[in-house]
Amino acid sequence: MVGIVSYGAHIPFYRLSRDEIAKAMGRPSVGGEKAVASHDEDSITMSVSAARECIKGIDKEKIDALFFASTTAPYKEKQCASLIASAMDLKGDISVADYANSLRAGTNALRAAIDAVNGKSARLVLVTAADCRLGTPGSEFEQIFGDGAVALLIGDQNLAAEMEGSYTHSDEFMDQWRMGEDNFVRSWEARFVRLHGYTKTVQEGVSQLMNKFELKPEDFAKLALYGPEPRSHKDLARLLGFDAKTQVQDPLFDRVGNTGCAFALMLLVAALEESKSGDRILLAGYGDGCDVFSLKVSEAMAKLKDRRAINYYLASKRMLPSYASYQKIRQLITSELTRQPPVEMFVPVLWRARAEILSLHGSKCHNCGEVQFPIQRVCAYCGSKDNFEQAGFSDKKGSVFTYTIDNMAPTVDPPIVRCVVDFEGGGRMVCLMADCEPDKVAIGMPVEMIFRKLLDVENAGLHSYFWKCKPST
Amino acid sequence: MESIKDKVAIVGMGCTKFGDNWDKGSDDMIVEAAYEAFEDAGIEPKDIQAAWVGTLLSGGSGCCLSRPLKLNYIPITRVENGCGTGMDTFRNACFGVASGMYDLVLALGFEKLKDFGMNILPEWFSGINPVFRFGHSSPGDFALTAVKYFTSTT
Repeated sequence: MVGIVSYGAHIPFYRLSRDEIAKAMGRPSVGGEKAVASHDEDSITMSVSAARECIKGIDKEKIDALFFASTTAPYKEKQCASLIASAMDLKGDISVADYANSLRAGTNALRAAIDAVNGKSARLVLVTAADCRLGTPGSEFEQIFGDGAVALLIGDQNLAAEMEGSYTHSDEFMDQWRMGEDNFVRSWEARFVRLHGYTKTVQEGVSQLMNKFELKPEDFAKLALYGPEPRSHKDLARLLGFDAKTQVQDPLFDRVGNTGCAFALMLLVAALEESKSGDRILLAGYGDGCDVFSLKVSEAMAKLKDRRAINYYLASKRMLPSYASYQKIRQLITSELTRQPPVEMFVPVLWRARAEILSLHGSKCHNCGEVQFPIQRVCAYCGSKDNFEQAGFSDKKGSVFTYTIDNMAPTVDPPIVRCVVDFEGGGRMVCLMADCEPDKVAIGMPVEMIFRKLLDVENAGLHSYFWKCKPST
Repeated sequence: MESIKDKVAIVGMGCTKFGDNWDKGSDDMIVEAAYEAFEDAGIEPKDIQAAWVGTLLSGGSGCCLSRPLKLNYIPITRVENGCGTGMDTFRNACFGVASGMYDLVLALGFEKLKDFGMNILPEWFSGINPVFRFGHSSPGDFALTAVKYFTSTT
């Protein structure tokens, strides 16, 4: 047996009304809003967010593998899954892999996880997919695309949904792609693409799976279907024989957008959140071919109702005031920051402090029991030297001891909110706050820790990651 | 602990105008202030036996003092201690005299912050990992204290 043990998702806090894009770029609006990753988010940080939620309550020591999927990985050459594993404080000898390049990378990774568990090379595999693709300014893609991430824990016991069967095929086709230096997704003409790509391929895949396992559309409670845009998604769902009102999982185009290789899996999670024991779900991913899966929900799914996934993040949002603010935070335009010295970082310095920076470890003194961040060889409370163990801070709850709303410190999204956070069980640190309304920040506000990108460091040519806090809800 | 009270006296003082001083470099201000102090004390540069020079980020090593003033072949200590640099420069110069080691020493502090082209403090090496300091500004650092103070009831 193999299937889904748990799930998580992440939708960025910021949303942009498509009417704002239309107004700025002078073309019709497709309506609704899209989710926009902020300047301190990328496919790695969004994955960490989804994955941390996914593994809540799971023994980290039991996770054997982590597969990360994205077409917008922050590094073109450098393992991203290892960075995610560090941020999640997973054990060192796990198997990690990056799945890239294709809109099918998410479902590719899911297949690999299923194969690993079936082949007994792993018992518990964490799959995470994230994308933050850009459409050319003024294009329909720009409106349709959204940013987001999803995580699934695949295992051989305590299954919330069992994998009944799958089908896959490859189909070489140029519909959407990017070359090495491209920032924006390219595509060929819409009618050609719709006819010979998506519709044909996924229809073939779904019918092959249905034939193989002798299933019909009415056997399924929900269809979690990738769609390049609303119209072709709707048309294909109808063509496949699924009822739009009762069976087709809402593709969230009006509230999130097409989230690339994470899309199909995010719609699966949305379906799982609303599912009940006995529901059969069809999942279809697409990208130069297709991956189709049939899943059966079990009673254990009810235990996951507290997971903060699609429904939670749909409600947690703040509208960007304008198209220009979107351009700034996605760095489509250069904006002048306050005159500040450049931040320089050096790899050995970052490496020595990796437990603190990536895994958010502090130290707990064996002599007096006090917890402090960062790691202190000499205890700040009792002076005891080299007498400590590392203590994790990333899962601790905290509250704001004091804060400042800083309009001078440089950021493309002012103001910077900087806090001193006191943690339950001890420890205090200075950190930035994200995903908040600055004028609602108050002393005593409960917060939790989130993994974000600080900046792109020019002198070193790398992305610098660290933890921030966000208001707990 | 022994006291150095009444063992050391300030015998001369000089000071430049404080300001952007766009038309003056570090060397200019050092010459101006030092020579005003020498005249005030009625001494010559060659009478100085040792010196302490304090600056946050406008000069390095004792050479930043000896080069413009031509104070050759005497020991010079460059002092840095954040906002306390000036005080610490003066303090150590006093110890030099109180210890009986020297009779006449020079304590000088200087800074040319505005050449960096910012209206806030440029970065200086604090030794703290830059990841932990990211997003800080000096006014912000003090604001953290102020915000807590304003809401404190005790």
